[in-house]
Amino acid sequence: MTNPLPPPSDFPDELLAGRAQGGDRTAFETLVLRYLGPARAFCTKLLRDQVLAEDACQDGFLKAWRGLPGFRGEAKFRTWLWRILVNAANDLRKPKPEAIGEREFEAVPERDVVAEDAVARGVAELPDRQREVLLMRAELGLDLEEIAAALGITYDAAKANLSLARKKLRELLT
Amino acid sequence: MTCEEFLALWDRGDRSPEVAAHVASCPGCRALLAIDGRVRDWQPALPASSEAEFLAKLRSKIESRPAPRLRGPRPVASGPAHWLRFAAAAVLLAAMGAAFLLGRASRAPETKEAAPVAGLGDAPKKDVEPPPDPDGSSPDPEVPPDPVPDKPKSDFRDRLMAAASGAGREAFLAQVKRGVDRARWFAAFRSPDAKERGAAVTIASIVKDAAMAPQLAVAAAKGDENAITVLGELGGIESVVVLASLAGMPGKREAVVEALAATGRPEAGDALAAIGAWKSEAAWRRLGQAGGPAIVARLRLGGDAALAAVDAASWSRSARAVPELAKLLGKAGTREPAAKALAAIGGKQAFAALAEAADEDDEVILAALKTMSGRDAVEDRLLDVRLKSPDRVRAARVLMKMGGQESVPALIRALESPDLRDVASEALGALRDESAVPALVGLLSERRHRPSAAAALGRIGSPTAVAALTAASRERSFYEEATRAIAAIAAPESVPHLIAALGERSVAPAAIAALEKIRDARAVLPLIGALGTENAAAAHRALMVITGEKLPGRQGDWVKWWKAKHKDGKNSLVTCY
Repeated sequence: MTNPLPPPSDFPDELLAGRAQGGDRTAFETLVLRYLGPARAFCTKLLRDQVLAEDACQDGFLKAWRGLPGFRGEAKFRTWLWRILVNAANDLRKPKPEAIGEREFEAVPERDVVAEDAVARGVAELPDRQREVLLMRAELGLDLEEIAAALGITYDAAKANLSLARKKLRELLT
Repeated sequence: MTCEEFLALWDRGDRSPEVAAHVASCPGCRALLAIDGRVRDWQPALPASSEAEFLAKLRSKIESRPAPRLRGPRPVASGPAHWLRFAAAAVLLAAMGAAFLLGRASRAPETKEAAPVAGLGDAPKKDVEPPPDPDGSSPDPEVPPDPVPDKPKSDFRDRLMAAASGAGREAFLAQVKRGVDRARWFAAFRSPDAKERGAAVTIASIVKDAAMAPQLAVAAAKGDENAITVLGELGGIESVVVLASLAGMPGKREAVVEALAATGRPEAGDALAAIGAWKSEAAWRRLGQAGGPAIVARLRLGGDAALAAVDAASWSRSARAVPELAKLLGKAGTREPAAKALAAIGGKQAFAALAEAADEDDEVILAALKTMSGRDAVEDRLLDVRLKSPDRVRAARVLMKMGGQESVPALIRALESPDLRDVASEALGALRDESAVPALVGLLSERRHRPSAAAALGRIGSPTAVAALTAASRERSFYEEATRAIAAIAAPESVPHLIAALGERSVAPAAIAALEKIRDARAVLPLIGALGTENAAAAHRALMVITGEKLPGRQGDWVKWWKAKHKDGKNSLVTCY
């Protein structure tokens, strides 16, 4: 055998992930490119800061690469990946206790970076969990089961949070 | 349907007619769902770096601390030293596959694989209320509770063996589908008893559920070749992954290759490539178009790697490979195999690629073209007025090189285009088809194109063109070309013209050759006259052929012979020449 084959772009996630687990960086990068666009949009809307969003994507994909040996195919790859990305974003949103003293000013999202339209303000006012669930449903198109799996919460909790988020945002926008 | 029920279904991805009907009739739900739309339509400024910049930054972070590997590189070679590793990988995959299948239920609506048999691949999901199970049996395929623990194991073995051979099969399958005895059935794949394993595999071949791939992998790793065959028949992506991991087992490679081909999946092509099975003609033939993506990926690599895939492209007749094969036509090392592969694939696209690459006297390409049935493609190219002239000229040359009378009508039509007249005339001349004569005669009136038309008429050799050529030769500037064509035709009616041409230095040799061929007695005396010219040798030979006399080449000898033949003295060299 000579060169490894470049993975076809229409390869299923799980096969690419299997290749990546074997050390195939090209396969992993194919996955990164497949999810980078949605990941950036999701993280930007969640964090309301382009710079933090980019950092979250970098951290998330890096953690995904390093965590690949732990991907056992129990869930869909994308569910597994979104879980990592949400955690990466939350890590940036919530400074670690020991770093609070140093980061208390810079950790606050700079609101003027994102256009402050009504939807943005409304989403910002939602509690964290409701915001995550709503964005995963509306922005990423995940169904409730996938959202529950990605966030590590129950189906009913995901359903309730989504319902509350929609109702609250509807009130804020009318 | 209440609004709550509707939302539950909607957010599970259900888009059935009932759900659609509710959303159409309920303004409240529509307003709620509109919130999703507004969130989706909200367009904040996104990070400005490009994908390439993002990847470059990510790579540098990755390289600063390489990730630990779960397993080694994908199997790429077979050999005794590798087989244990592959067997271990198969077992690992079996475990992974079972776990993987736990997630299948949640993506069942999206998956393209065959729907699992009820109760086989379903699994309860954490935090999700499982659908009510009428039997109350757990659908976990890995550790399912056995609802009949009181039955001895030997009883199960007997029923399994009987079901495999046909007795009580329906009842057994019904039990398994309901979850009963499933754990024992799964355990049978790992049994040290080959007969029991074989029976378990036989049942799997009847059930044909992609969820069985991990169990079959275990049986295959223990040496059950039938399990490999069944994996191929299942055809799911899980089968491809498992089969790829089994390729290194000694003595099983051929069966694995065959089974991969039987899956008919594009990923199987990739797996065949990964295990280096490029010479497996039957496998690539069977995989057919599905092998295209893997072949194209390899062809793009160029060099020896691409060469290995060319044959596979030919066997699979993959239309996807045509553009890449066309590129290989431009390289000396791959030109011939690529041409043969294109010919095997066939179709207009392949034909056009070959025609595009065909230069004059390129036997490799022409040989490939001749084996194809896509002549229409190049004729279309010839007659397509939207194409640039050089492309159409090339098409005419390809037709000429290919030979065959089928292309004559297209070439005659091409004579209508001024830029193609010369090349089409040349091609028609090469094809020597008399049906082209009237069209070519028509071109004799065109000063610019009549030399090529005359040459073509000469090659076709039809006497019907002589009168037109003789008439056209009266124009001094066209005399030579017309006379050469008349000489080439060598028709008896052209003898007077040819005799007259003996006095023209430029065309006299052609005229002598024609007269020799025609063997007309009227030419004897003029040819005796030509013995006194620079064409004496040719004239002498012609005289001997026409008269049958073996006289030497001296003009005096032939004059004496002539006088002896014509004692009345009516004819003389002077009057004749």
